[in-house]
Amino acid sequence: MQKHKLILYIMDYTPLAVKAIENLHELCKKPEIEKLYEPEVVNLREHPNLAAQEKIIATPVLIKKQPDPVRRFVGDLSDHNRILIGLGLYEKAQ
Amino acid sequence: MKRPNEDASNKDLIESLLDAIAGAILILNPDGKILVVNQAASRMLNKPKNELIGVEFSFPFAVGESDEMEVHMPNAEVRYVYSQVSEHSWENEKAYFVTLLDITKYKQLLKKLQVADTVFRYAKEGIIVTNKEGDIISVNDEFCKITGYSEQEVTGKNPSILKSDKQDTQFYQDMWESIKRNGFWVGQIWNKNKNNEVYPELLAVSEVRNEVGQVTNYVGVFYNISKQVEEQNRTIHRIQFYDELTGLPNRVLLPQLLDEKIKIAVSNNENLALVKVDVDDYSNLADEYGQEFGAKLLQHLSHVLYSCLQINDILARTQNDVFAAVLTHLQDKLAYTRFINMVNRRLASPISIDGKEVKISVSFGVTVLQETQPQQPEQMLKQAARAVYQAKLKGYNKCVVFDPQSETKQIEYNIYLDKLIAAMHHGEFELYCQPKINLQTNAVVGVEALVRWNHPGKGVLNPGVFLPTASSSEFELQLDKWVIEYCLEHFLFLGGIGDDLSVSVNINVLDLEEKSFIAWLSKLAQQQPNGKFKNLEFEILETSAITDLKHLAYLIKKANKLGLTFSLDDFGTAYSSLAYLKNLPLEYMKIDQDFVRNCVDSVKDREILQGILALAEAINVKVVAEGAETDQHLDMLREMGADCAQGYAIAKPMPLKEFIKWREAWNKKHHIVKERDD
Repeated sequence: MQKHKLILYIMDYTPLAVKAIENLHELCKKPEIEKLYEPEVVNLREHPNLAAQEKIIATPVLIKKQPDPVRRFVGDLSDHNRILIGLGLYEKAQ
Repeated sequence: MKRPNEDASNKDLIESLLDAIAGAILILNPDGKILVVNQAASRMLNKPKNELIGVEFSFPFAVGESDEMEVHMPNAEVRYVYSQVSEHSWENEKAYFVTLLDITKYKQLLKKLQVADTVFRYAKEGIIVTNKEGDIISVNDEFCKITGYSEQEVTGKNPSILKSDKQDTQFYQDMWESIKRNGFWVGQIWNKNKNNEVYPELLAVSEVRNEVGQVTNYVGVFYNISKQVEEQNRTIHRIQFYDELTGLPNRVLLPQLLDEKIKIAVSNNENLALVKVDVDDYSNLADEYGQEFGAKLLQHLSHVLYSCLQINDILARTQNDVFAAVLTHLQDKLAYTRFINMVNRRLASPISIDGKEVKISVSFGVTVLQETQPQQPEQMLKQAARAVYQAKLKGYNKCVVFDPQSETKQIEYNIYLDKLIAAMHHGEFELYCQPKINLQTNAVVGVEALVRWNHPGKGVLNPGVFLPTASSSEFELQLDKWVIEYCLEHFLFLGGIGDDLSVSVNINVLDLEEKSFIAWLSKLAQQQPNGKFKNLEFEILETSAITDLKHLAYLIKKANKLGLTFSLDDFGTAYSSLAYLKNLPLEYMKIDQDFVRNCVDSVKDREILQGILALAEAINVKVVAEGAETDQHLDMLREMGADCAQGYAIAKPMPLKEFIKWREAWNKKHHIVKERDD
């Protein structure tokens, strides 16, 4: 089964962005996530048009487009439960 | 029951109220979509409200929890935003209120503090921070490393716990005065670590002031400079005691090393010799080939000399081209010759430096340690120096061994010179006048000033008795100067010998060559009334010492400008030379008294005298004949055509008072009315 993407948009590898990347990789090690998603990091500095295209207000921001609904998580992604809830996986994890 | 537009107006009112709030607020629906954004939030996120409303911001955070995010400005600046979520309702639906706080400045400050903390923690300098009372509030790792104290051990204590006794109270007072006056102090200080070991540190103390200028803290930053000080001391020691060019001990260290060797030799009853080695003609070699070549030559020579030593011997470089070898464990007193012979053999072949081949030789001055009365190092060094000086006088590549008996003679000589100097200072010298007459008119034309020593025990002594020993010495220069000053003071004034007469004084050619002599004369001339100097004549003695005729002629011309005239004394004796007459600007020449004395009886002397007079006439130099002891001499000289004469036939040297009376009588006897006849 093809995995969906969890795309982390950052603007340069700032300390906050680095923290978010680390947390994302940690998160993706969870079996329920790993089964469905694969992480990707996009540096907006290298893709300047994407910020406007994706209507990104602040970084780092993790965007899940598929499956519906679209979800965004701003911040360092240290609160894994919030993300699991947002992805509808919290109860499964519990 | 509420009317529909009542809800709308309530919503507008709340939104207006939100806009009026300084804090940034977003209202999100449970999916994270922005429902409401106030003005402050719009400004903070740098987007107009309409671009933000409806945009998915973030899946709501857990209530009460906070997060941090970056908002990117168009000018590439990053704004750091802190957010906090609370759950409420909006339009009767569940909603999340997100308050945003701009923490950019806080983050920047934090970053600075982190940098400062990193610097503080990991600096290679010890750092100590005190409060304004001077109590330690913080120290860094390096401080702990250098001092051996932990942070806990020193916190709350005064930095004086590190104080050593190497600085006095005044030092610390000056330091604190500087801090108060300038806000800082930098300098070297000796402190003490936990193990009571004293070490040098380079310390900078600065005061820290708050925004209203009050001192809040003092910061001391220091660096342990033990290694640098050790290195510095090593360098100073090297410079002080070793020769930079050859690496050999220098003249400062040699006496210490020699002292040690003498002590060993004395206690072991061994022979020891000190040999000074002076390079022959070094300055000419260096002039010809350059200083760099000269330096390499000396380095090469140091290797040669070193190779001729034996174990425990010492080689030092004491002057530019002078080395000294301390030869120890010698089998007998003559065993120094091994070293000398080896050096000579090694220097027999030309030396090649930078492709240039030169042949060098050295002179040796040796002194041997005396068994009965061992010398001090300084004494041995002087003896060797004197010996090498004597060797140099003898020519190239000579060796002179110091003779202890000559030292005794030297000591006696020095005592004698001291006696002469004391006699001069005690006014025991006096000048006598011996008249000179014009042989044709019998008129007195001048006097020769001759020094006499009124010796307290031996009576009046002639220079022939007391001066030869001191000839050409520093004392003679002092005496000649004294004579000139005495003449100016006692003879050359009205009531003295008479202002129509000249006074001649004897002067050593070495005086003239003395660097400051002409300047001294010039200064003296300026102090004299007009014309007084014009009556002064110098009779040049010791012509044997003339080495540079051209230079001497130049000096005489300089003295001529001051009004002085010159004559050549004792012409016809061993060292007289026609070249002097030809090249020196002379007024008179004095014919040696032996010719005059013998001219009556010896045809040969008479002929020589005749020849000298003819010569003088030819080169337009006037002649004074000395040693005219009888009337017969005077008649003969007159007949031969000599200009002037001086001698017992006219008068013996006499004190000034006697001369005045004598002259009156002489003039009367010879019916002389004209004061001067020249």
